[in-house]
Amino acid sequence: MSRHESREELIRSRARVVAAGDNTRRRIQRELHGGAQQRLVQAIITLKLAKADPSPELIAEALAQAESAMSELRAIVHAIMPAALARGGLRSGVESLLDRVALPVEIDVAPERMPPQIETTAYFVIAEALTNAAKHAGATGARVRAAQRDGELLVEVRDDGAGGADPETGTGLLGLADRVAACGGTLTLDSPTGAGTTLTVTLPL
Amino acid sequence: MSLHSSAPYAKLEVSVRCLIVDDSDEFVASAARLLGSQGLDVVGSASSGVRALELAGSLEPDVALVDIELGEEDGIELSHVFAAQAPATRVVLISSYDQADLGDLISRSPAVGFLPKTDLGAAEIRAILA
Repeated sequence: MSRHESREELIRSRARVVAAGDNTRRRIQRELHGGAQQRLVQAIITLKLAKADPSPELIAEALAQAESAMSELRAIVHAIMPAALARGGLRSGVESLLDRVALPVEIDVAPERMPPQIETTAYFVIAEALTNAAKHAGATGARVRAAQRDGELLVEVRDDGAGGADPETGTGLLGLADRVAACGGTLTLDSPTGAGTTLTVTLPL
Repeated sequence: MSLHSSAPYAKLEVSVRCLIVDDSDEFVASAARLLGSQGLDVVGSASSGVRALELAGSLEPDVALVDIELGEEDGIELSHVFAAQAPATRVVLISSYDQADLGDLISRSPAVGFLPKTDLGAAEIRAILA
């Protein structure tokens, strides 16, 4: 890659990072507004009815609506930045993903704490790879490994799905590549059609 | 509500016939129940602009409560269509947003007012129409 080409690519990747940030905000706005906010509107209306007529049925209904808002908020808060990741590091963060991914996942993640940017990047790489495995590749299982080696964090996510993933077409994978590049790391995708996908990322510590 | 406290409503307030235009069945059901319990006459509901205008024509409601977001449709656009095609029905825009979140979108529409869904109530609607 010539100096000119690498400058062009840098400008493109910066534009993608900004666009990815805007898309994330849009998605969060839509999810909060369409989900928890509507459930809370319902709860408030039901409580207004219950204020005039305090029946156990109305109170139970308002409670169910508030609980449903709470569970939607929990899911969104987790998607923004899981508490387990910030408090317990990468292994806890990945553990917190397992209930939310519709796929059995075997994990082998080193427990050591690392700089927040590394933990966060590694976490979102793993989260995106597992989401792709479950949603797009039709995988029946996946394995996650993350270990420090020679001053790097090596992350590998392997699934047994359909393969054929192309980083040029999926914005998710391109977004990951930009995020990893911003940390000075590398991303390798091995996804032969019909033979599963292995995503390997290295991040300098 | 006790008979005692509802009695002044019957004396002082004329009936308000109200159409709810919102694409959430859940909201329509709760809003109709709340407004009905507070003495408003909810005569119908619609989840699209086309249906709302049909009902405005056949039911001639005094007021249409129109969500600013009707799925892919826009309630503010619909308020303009109401002003042109069903001028006897006044439009009150509603939303789970607060008015401050909407900039000048409300003041630039022909709607007679705006109510956040969390402030929905017969008294609030009567105050806007008064």
